[in-house]
Amino acid sequence: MPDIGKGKSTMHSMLKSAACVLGALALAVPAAAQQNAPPPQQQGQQAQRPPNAPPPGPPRRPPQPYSPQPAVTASFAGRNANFTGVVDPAAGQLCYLLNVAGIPGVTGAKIVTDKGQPVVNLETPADGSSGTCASIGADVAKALLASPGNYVVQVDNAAYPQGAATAPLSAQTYG
Amino acid sequence: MHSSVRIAAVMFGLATIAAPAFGQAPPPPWHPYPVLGADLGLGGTGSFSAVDNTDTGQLCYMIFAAGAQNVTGAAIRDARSNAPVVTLQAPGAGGTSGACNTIDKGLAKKLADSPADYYVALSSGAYPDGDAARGALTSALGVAVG
Repeated sequence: MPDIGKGKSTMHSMLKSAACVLGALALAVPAAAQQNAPPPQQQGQQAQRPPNAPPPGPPRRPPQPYSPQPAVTASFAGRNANFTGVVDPAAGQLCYLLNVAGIPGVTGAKIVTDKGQPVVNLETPADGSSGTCASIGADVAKALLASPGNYVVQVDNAAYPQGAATAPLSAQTYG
Repeated sequence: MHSSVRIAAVMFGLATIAAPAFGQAPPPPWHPYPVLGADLGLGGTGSFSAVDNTDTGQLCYMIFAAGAQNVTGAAIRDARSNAPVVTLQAPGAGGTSGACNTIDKGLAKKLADSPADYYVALSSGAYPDGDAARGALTSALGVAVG
């Protein structure tokens, strides 16, 4: 520290200014560093995640342009059973998932016209569900999408081989 | 005498009402299986749905991932080790796939009971480690699939 008692006012004020600047820097530097650090709560959350777990938040890559796919769905009223199928009319493909947990002893499933004519055989949901991608032909695919109300999903069992339950198709988009 | 007749008439009326109810067949047994799902984080364009039969280990599923391009693989992975536990059919050019797998019954139960310990991941040539799309698994009973 300078010797105040010697009356060197110019030197004195310079030293005072320097001390002030030094003090201000001492306060400002840690504060500036904290602005770039993650908040304490976020650090705590990171520590709670299991090792190698996927990071939370959005995916690491941007989604690509896409078109929602046309789909047909059917719900078996009061039976805890439903059908969802995504139709690719250009490829003539139907990918579906059929859940018939509420219908016991199922022996077969198909999509039929409202007159009872079979148009698509579905995998038998013997264990309560089935799902696959089936080639159904472009014409059938287009017909299902154009007039879903003309078709029903029919589930058979031993007691009712001609239809234990039916549910009309309706059109939706998926995605 | 009069009151006896009235009582008999009331009893007869009650029996008339009650008999058909006793004669009705019971409703069919309802044993819903857990429905698994995952939002693949593609802005609403990617999803995984599955019916998980915990009694037999059958897992029937459908993947829709039109927003992910050139997908080469799909799997349910362990969230701790990132190791695949169920290999799924990769969506093709149309972005959709579906199949039924038979998995270990213990694993089927774990997927249903602790879905947060697992996630669905898609791989591509550019992202071979399952980073093309991924979503945490969820589980629910008595909901519609799809």
